[in-house]
Amino acid sequence: MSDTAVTEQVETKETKPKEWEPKIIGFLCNWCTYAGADLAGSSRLKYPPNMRVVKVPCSGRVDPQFVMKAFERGFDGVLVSGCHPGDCHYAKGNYYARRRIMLFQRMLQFMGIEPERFHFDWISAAEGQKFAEVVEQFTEQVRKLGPFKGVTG
Amino acid sequence: MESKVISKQDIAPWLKGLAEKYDVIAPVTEDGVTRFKPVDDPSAIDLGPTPAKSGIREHFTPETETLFDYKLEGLSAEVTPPEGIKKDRLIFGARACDAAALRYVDAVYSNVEPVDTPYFDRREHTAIVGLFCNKPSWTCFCTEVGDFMMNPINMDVYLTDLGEKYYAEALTPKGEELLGSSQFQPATGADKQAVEAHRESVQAKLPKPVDHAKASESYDWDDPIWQKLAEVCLGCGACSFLCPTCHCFDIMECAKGKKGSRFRCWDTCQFDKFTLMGHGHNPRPSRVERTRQRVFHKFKYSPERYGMLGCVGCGRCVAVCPVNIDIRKVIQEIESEDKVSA
Amino acid sequence: MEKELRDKARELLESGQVGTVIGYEAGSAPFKCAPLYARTPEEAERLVWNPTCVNNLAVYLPQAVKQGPVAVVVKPCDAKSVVELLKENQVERDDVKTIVVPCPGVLNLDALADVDLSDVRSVEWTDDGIKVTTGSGEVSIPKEKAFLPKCLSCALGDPEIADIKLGEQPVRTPVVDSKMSVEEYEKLSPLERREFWAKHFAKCIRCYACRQACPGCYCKECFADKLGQMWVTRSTDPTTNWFFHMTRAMHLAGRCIGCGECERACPMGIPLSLLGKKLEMEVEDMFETRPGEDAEALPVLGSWKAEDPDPCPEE
Repeated sequence: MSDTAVTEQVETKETKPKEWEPKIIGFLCNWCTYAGADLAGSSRLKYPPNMRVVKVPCSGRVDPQFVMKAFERGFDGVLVSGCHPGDCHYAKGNYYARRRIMLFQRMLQFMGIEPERFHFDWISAAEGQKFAEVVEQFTEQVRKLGPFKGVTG
Repeated sequence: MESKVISKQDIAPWLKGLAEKYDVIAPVTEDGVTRFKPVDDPSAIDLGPTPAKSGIREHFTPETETLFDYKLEGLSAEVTPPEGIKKDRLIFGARACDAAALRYVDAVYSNVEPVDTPYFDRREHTAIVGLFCNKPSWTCFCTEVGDFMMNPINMDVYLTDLGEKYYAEALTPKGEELLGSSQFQPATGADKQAVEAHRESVQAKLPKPVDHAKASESYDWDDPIWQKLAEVCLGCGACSFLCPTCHCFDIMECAKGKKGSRFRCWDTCQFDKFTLMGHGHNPRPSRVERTRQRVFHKFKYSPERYGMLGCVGCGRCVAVCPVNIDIRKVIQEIESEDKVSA
Repeated sequence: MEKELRDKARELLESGQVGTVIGYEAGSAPFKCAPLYARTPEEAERLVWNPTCVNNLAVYLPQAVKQGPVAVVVKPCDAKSVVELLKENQVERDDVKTIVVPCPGVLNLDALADVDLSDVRSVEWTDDGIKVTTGSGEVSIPKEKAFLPKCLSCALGDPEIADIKLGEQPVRTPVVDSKMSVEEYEKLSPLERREFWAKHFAKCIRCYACRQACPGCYCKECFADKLGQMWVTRSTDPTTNWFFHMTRAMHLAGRCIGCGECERACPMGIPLSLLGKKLEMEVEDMFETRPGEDAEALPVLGSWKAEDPDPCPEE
């Protein structure tokens, strides 16, 4: 999946709600988390509609630059989720993601982005309930922080 | 025009008095780096002793400048040009080299139609109060490439620091108007003599003039020095971006859905994609070509095209180069006796 | 020491073991040096080793080895760059010989702020700092002021890759804890941190001197120059600059060895080595590994372990 295919989605997922609602973007891996989201939907589980989803083939495809681009464009919160370690559809992709994303998470905090604005989790295809809960909790967490004022603001 | 003097203590009141008509821009030091910035409080001004790290260039050719904003509506677009200068500016404490460099950039930006209107808008609405260099930096060589330290150009007022006071000369009608403020008193004969003696003594320590334009007629395209420079040069843009005569820019767009803006930003011939063309060819593929280009452009092509050197000897490129490429040494080497044909 | 260096360089060149010795020569002022590619015994005579030798010459290796084996003069910090280049296959082991010089510390030019630079004749090491000789006398400057911050916290001994050692490294007593600047910074609140970088990135003119001076930045096409997928425009607003520097820091995560060339090359005084230092600390904390020490190790973000830290540790 090319960088452009992903960033085009990041850059066009913008709406202007009348009252501030947290604007969240989620990078979800196709095989686990996206399927889990699908299960949440077909089970009619309720969760906040604030998250726009970008489907990636694997959490290992998530480049820190995608997350940076999202914050740069004004998203209030970013979620990254993939298969549990050991269950990756591509065997090892999420292991690389784990190192990279956890290191990046510390860097975001270092740069002054509130840690509550970024969430990294493992959600499997069977965990529709967990998906709904994670999105609910994360959306409320970001709502409490208020609008994101910009990476340098 | 009559010369005047102003006590150093009166500079702040003078500038404050000008605040209604002018936005004052002057050197300010933050975290050890001195740059020309808008100042509200004249006590923040840091005039030296040595020249500021970067000059006044960004106030005439900003690092990033919006050319226009646009909004797409169906098949048409609404284009909004930027607003022009709203209030006159006064640059206080510019050095002779930085002001002289504007002559070169003026020539380039008015060379062909259409002329660069945003640039000339800024030029027209900016007064420059220059400052004679009491303590040139170890990298200064303006006297080698011109005589504007003693005979400045593109300035409205030229100040010389005489210890407790400044000697002030108006060089333009606008300068005369500036020196009309009550803080200025007429200069005495003794003041004038002190200034002359002082300037002579500073000039005596600086390099002697060299006719680089003439010497450049014999520059060697294949001089082995370009290979040597290419190996050492890192290919960053620090020299070009701190150079007061450098003026190249790139044009880019920043689009978000149906809205966006077109802007220009500084560019440098030292970057490898500078001459990369649409069909993939790059006539300056390596640092051999690019380091040669920098020197040839400033010392050979500029005299040929504009009748003046593209270098004002400010020495900033020398000070900032991480690998100590010293343009004075480079031109000394390519102009050395055994290379210049009889 | 300079005599031994020149003799060794001459020997390497004359014997044909290497085609080039990359070292330092006198610069255009006594407090500056310049990189030198010595290819003949005569050129080798110009090699110097003194407090002005700040550059990390490893930055030249990936290009230089294309012409054949190269010897490079390195301080123990620079030698770590050679390890990283070997780890990432940018140079072959047979193509590089490191000439390791004993390094008490190198010159911080800010230390000469009160000295008349036009009058300097030489800069030499003393037992506890440097001695600057000018036309009007000598000035001694203690190491706390004379040396770069990285030197004050240096605890490096002999480097991993030391083909030729020109003497023993001095016994080091770090005077500043190397994590100090990061700990000071981390006292700031999130908003203060954003403002800190906003202030610094407002100064950035995107000259890319930091990138070009860095031995770890050897990509043929940097992400910042890509036009097809434009990650950053060339606008110098603080947000775009933030993106550039954050990304560059992440690309060097686990690879930055703290030579500080980025910060030295920056014309605007941006504290870039703070970013590299933070990531170096986090990599060591999370993955128990340090860059620049083992040329056989796998790149940190190009490998993983089952026991790596996990975002959901209870699983």
